[in-house]
Amino acid sequence: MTSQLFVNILLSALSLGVIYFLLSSGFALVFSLLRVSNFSHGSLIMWGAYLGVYLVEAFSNFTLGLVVSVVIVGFFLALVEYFLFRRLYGGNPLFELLLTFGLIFILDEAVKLVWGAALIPVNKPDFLKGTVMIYGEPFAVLRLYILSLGVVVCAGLYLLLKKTKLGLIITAGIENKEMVRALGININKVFTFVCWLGGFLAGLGGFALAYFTGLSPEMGASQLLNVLVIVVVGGLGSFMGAAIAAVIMGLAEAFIGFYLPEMAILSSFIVMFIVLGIKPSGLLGEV
Amino acid sequence: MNILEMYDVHTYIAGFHILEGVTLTAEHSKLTILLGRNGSGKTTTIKTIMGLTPASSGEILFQGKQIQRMRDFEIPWLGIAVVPEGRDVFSDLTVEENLLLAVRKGKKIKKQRLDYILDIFPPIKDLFKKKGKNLSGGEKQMVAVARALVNEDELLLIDEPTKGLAPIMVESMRLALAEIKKEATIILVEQNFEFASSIADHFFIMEHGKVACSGKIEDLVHDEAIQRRYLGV
Ligand SMILES: Nc1ncnc2c1ncn2[C@@H]1O[C@H](COP(=O)(O)OP(=O)(O)O)[C@@H](O)[C@H]1O
Ligand SMILES: [Mg+2]
Repeated sequence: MTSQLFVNILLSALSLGVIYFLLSSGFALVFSLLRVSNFSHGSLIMWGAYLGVYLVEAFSNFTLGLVVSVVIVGFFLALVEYFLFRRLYGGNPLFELLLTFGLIFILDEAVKLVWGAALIPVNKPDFLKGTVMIYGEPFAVLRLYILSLGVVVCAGLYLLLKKTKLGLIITAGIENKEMVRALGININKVFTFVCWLGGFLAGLGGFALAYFTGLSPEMGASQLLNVLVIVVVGGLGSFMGAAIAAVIMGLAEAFIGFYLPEMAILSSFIVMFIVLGIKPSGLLGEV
Repeated sequence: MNILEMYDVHTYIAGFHILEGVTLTAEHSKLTILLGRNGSGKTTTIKTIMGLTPASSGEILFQGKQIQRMRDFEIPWLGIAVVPEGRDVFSDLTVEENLLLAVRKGKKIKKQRLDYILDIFPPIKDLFKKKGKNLSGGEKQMVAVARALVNEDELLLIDEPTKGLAPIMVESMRLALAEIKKEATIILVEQNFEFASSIADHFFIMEHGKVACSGKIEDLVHDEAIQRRYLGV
């Protein structure tokens, strides 16, 4: 393999990893703080995709469509936390399962009602078309865009979690909610915010995905599977673990896809098999 | 004057009747100690005052005001800080962040307050950038007490600060509490009777979720029958 080709595959792998990171980080964040497995995460991803593409066209403005759609998906999950999750904390986990599965049916059917059940191709805006030359090889602008989006989101999350008081509260709350409350902090408000952020990230992941795969009412279910594999590989409850797992998945898919194209579709399961074989709790999972 | 009063307080945890009518008072500017065997309800009493295991009936008064119906996160704002039994220093935060998280008003610890804390626990200065998970047991205990000091709260609830500490750490904790006592009211849970009697003013002995007897610490020091009966000394 030439070094140009290697760099090219590496960049593709990273942009894939970034999409996986966007898709799974919201689920991981919500799970690590609230201990709620939000199975409707895939459906939120799908809503981010449909709503984003729709609003970009409605506003004839890419950035505005993107921002408004992800903020709305965030608000949806914040409302779900405020009115529904909150009643279930500390109770039987089965109720959470039923609730978030119920949300899947509602959200998925709503997509079909509004946009129909057919696949919808997505047109890239002009500035995302074409390629740029990187290290002597053509590279799709869209992938470059995704990469930079991922870098910005990562940096934003890092600053939020490490450099703000809200971030300290989230980190502390993941470990010990009772002590956080004993310091006079209303952690329920932080739960609502984290759900907003989780929805925001799901929407963003879905939006980015739409420009690669187009829109399909099945994408929620298939992305949920992807997300679950990533958070399990990363270690349930570990936000950092999920981020690392997402990048590894991207690398594996791109490189396995290059050498053994017929195995590409299985790449995430191959990674899962290897990681869980060595460390059953996942990369950064506890115990 | 009493800073805290509890009257016939009952608390249930997971359906179990844990506090079965606790009545006790803590005098302003004094150190009140809660004694009693393991499982007698001392920790639950502390948690009930903090609203973490809320009272199901009875009254809790702080500076004369009822607080037993308040939410847990509202209670510290009255001027009450807690050092829990498990220390509960956050392991993924640095010592500095652990202290900052406790700051209720403003963004930073006031300079003069920080000096006060470092005066009481000089070793903390060198631990600032260390994560909670990398601290020794004694260091964690210092940080847990220091964290309760950042807001100049009037009442400190401190649950077994010497548990599992080496004798030399126990002694420095005793000196620290003696210093803290000069400007705050303390309710202290302690198993170590010698430690307790050296700094306490009043005592309450708990048994089966109730107060079995109480009084001035001098009286307890001289009453070996009570010591034997309730404390197994
Ligand atoms: N979460 C809980 N579930 C059931 N019982 C509990 C729980 N927490 C405490 N207890 C019981 O309450 C009693 C008092 O406990 P605690 O207040 O921790 O006592 P102490 O601090 O005096 O050792 C003990 O018998 C203990 O077993
Ligand atoms: Mg105890």
